[in-house]
Amino acid sequence: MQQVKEKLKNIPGLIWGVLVIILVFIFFAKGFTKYQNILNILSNTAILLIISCGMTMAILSKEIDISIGGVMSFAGLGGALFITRFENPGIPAIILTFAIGTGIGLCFGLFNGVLIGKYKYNYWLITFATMSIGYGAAQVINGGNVVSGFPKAFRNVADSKFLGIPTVVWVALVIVMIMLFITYKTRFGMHIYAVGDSEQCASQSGINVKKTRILIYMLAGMLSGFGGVLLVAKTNSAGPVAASGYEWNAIAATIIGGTSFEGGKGGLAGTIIGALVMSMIINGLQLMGFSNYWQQVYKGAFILLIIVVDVISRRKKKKAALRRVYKYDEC
Amino acid sequence: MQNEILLEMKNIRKEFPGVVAVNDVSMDIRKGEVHIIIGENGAGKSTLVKMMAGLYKIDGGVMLLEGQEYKPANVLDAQRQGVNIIHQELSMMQNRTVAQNVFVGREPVMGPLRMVDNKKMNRQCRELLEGLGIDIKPTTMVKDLSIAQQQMVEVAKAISTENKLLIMDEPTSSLTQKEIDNLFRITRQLKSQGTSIIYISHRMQELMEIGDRITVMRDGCYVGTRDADDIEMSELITMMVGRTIENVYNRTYNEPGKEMLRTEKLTGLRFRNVDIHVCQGEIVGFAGLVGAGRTELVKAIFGFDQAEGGKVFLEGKEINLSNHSCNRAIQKGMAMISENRKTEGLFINMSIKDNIVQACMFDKFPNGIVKNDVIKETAEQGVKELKVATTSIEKKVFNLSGGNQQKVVIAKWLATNSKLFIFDEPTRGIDVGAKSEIYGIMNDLAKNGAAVIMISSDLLELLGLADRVYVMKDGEISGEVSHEENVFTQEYILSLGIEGGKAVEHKSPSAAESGPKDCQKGGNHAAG
Repeated sequence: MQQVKEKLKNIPGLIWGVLVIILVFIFFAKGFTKYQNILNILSNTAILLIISCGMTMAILSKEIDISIGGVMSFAGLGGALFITRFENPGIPAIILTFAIGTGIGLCFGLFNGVLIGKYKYNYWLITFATMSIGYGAAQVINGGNVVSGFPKAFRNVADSKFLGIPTVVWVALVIVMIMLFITYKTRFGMHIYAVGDSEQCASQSGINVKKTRILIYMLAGMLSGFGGVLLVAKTNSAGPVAASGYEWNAIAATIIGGTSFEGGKGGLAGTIIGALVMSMIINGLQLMGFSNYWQQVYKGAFILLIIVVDVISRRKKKKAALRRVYKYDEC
Repeated sequence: MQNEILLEMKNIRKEFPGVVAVNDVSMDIRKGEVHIIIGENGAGKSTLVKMMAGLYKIDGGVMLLEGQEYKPANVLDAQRQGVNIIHQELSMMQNRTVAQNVFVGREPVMGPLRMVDNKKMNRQCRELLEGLGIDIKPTTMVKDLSIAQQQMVEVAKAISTENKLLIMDEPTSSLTQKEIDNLFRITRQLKSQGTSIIYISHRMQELMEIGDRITVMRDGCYVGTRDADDIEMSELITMMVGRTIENVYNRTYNEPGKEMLRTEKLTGLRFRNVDIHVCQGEIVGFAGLVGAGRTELVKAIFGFDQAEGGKVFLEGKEINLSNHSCNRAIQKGMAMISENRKTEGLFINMSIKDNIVQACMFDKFPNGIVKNDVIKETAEQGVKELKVATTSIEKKVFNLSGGNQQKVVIAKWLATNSKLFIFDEPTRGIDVGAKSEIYGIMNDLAKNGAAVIMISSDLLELLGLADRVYVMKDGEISGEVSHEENVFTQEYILSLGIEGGKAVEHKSPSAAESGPKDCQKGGNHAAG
């Protein structure tokens, strides 16, 4: 009994908040637990999850990358203009399309990384500027028009099924596995945490802070570029502002997932939950029949609820930990 | 009125995560006296006075101000009741003017809109500064002032209100002699007006000059109070230290081995023309006042700061200073336990385990993939070796006490294959037990052939551990003393640090002339 209690105590408050929301939806949102609906949630989460990986790395390193939406739009449109040249694109052309998108993202990321990591410019301003450049360039290259009607083979990357599960979910799964490996199992992953926790200490421990920061922005850029093209394939349309708002959703998913602006705290595992929560809230509210406007309000309210529950439980734990310290270290 | 009690403290207690900073302290402050509180670093002096000034809440005990219970809710509340503090660290708004800083929170206002009356504020500020003999314009930006000038503005700010009790927390640490004289003049003036003053200081001369009574604290506990007139310096030191030098340090000196580190005319932003050498098996101490450039020097040797000129040799091989970094220093076998444990030594949000492996990752995981069992093994070995008191290596380091945190930092460096260890203030803010363990580690390192550099402001510590001590003053090496010389004393080292040694006669000129020994000749020059 005591052990069960201890185990329950160790579950993060976040999980409790999420469970409450799921329970609410199970009872009040008709069809929330249907297989088809769960697939729906997963496929709506996939792209957000991919770009949230980049955002999580940036926030873990105590910075932020808000250029994500702009990069996604520009990369998506760039890929779209390329693939529409083909009537019946083969696999190489499709791969090349994604490579173009990822490449555009890489360029933006490298630019961000060098200016922020190497030359120490403010990350907010630099990524804000590249966000603006991204959205602007997306308008410019196609005169502000939306591209639609893509070849079937290209759309299949995101918009068909494999083993009964949407392909976009498979793609996200592969990328998330890679990113989990990078952040938890490589030296670079540990360096992200170290740099975010204390840049001075990281540097004095022999970590190349500049290189680490540049790599983080490069990876974040590549993920957004790739995500941008994937979004085009999934929605069958490429617009200059198609991805606007993704940066904020990615930040929300990361923070709900327990990664802290303090830096060095949290991780990708939490972000996966965070991204799922974001999609679940929208999906549940839709099923409950709320209008688009009310959905926004309730989305905000639910995020607040989760954060409040999480913070309260963290503070409790911290206090308990301090009490234990006092017991051991008497004067 | 000399013996009337202004503030009485009974069984005061204060805890911080990991330490009991003030434990069961009872003392009193009389009206119109200058009361000095001394003690080693981390003795709890600052914490005690911060509780009086309303910066910290007391965790136990009571304070009585003029017989009434005194429980300041915050700094403003304390000020309203007549207790004011001048901080050890400057707490000024750098981008505001002097007058704005002095009158913050109580700016003179005018008109129905209660707009700030800048003219009046500046005039009042000028009168105040002139009255104190401080030559600063009220409209100057604080960031344009020197540290010493800022300190004087702090003093002006504190005495611009009516005070019953004024607390000065190491006010002279950054002042020049002229400003110190000025401060003492102000202090006497205040005292004659009946204000009580609590004065925290490390400088012994000051105590004798202005103190009425002296209270000694050690490890958070009250040791005793004495009248300044009838106490010997030696008694004070015994009270502060509470132990004799020999029984803590247990240094086993060895014959110095080959040369490990040598610098030639090394120059940087805060130090110049530094020539030093450190041999295997040696502990070399660095003494000097805060700001003498010791930390900056070792940071440049370690590659954290850029050096501007000169040469550094490690094991006889010259280090390319234009292309030097911490990473390269570590590869070459250097380790640095930084002065600033919380921000530079530790990843405060990480577990013990993750902290310990940070510096040896390039060694242990050359292909970039991290192996959990290697991390665990390394961490467990470190925790065992250094006797870190913890239930698990997964524990976050912010939960540990200062001493255990420092042990984690040292474990991080022991996990590397370092040959040269730089300890910068390794025992600051650490309890006595952990201190002696850290001394033991340093001694063992030297015994096993590593070279150890140790910066410390605790002279007893340097005297107890070091083979040789370099003394720095204003960025230059002002002297070098070996433990075999007769002048290996606190007084001589202090005099080197303060006046460059000119004012103090050598107690034994013959010993001083013989000078410190060089490294063993075999090998070091052959290698270079």
